[in-house]
Amino acid sequence: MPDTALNLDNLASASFATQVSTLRQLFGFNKTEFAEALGVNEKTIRRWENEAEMVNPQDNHKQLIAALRTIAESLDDLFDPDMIKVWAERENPALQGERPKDFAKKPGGVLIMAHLLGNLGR
Amino acid sequence: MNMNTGALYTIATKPINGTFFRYIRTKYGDEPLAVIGSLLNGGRYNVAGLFGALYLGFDHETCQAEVSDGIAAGVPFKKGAFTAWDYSVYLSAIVRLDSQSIQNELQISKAQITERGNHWTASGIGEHLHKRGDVDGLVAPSAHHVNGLCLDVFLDRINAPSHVTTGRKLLTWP
Repeated sequence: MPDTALNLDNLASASFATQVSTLRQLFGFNKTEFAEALGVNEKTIRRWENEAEMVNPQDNHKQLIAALRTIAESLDDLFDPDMIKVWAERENPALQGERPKDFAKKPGGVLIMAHLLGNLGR
Repeated sequence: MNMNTGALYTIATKPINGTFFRYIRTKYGDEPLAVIGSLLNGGRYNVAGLFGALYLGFDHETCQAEVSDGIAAGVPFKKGAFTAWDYSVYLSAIVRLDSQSIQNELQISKAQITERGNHWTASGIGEHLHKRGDVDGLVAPSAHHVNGLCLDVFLDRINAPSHVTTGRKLLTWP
């Protein structure tokens, strides 16, 4: 099934399922690639993106869940939707000069971005 | 160049007094003294989880450059994304990392403590000065604004007569 169109409005208040799906598409991943980048299995990504499933607070991937929420909320706090796309595509001095969508493919890349975005202006 | 870590425990401190500024994400704009962001996520001069630090700028331009020039990569912020506050500060014991003589004594360079994407030297300095216990904070060159200066306050270390008082919520930016 094709991904739904990328809607970056009100990302902070969106469900976790929507946040995960939106960030995955923003960074240009399919579910298999996103699972690989995050070091989880594809079933986990499908579960997280399923609106009908509540995220278990005892989930083994608490740190990743928090990181994805932090990125979604921070981008929504800081940028208008069209600028979020610009941010994802722009070479970033805080990410070793790489674009966020490329840096997300690195081991730990999503956690580092969450760390940097989470600290901005807080 | 290897930093002289031992010197961090003996290096001279100075008092500082004045008005400083902070740009806070507007969502957290009513918590001007909160340091939860730096505690959870770390900052240039503090390691995540060890202690939080209050990062202030000497002027508005430095604050704006600090928030714009890092992970934001110069992408325009949404209107009102930040709220600016001013602070009245007196600290009896800070370390001036902007001083060439202090840098010489510590065997560090300005480039080392302002390097983008690498906080290794700076966070080590912050950790040792915080551990020292009698230092209220430090002044450091901005990593994002030429000739800009930042004041990093170890809020959990300050004792009277040192104080940090929030002044006015000034404006939203941009």
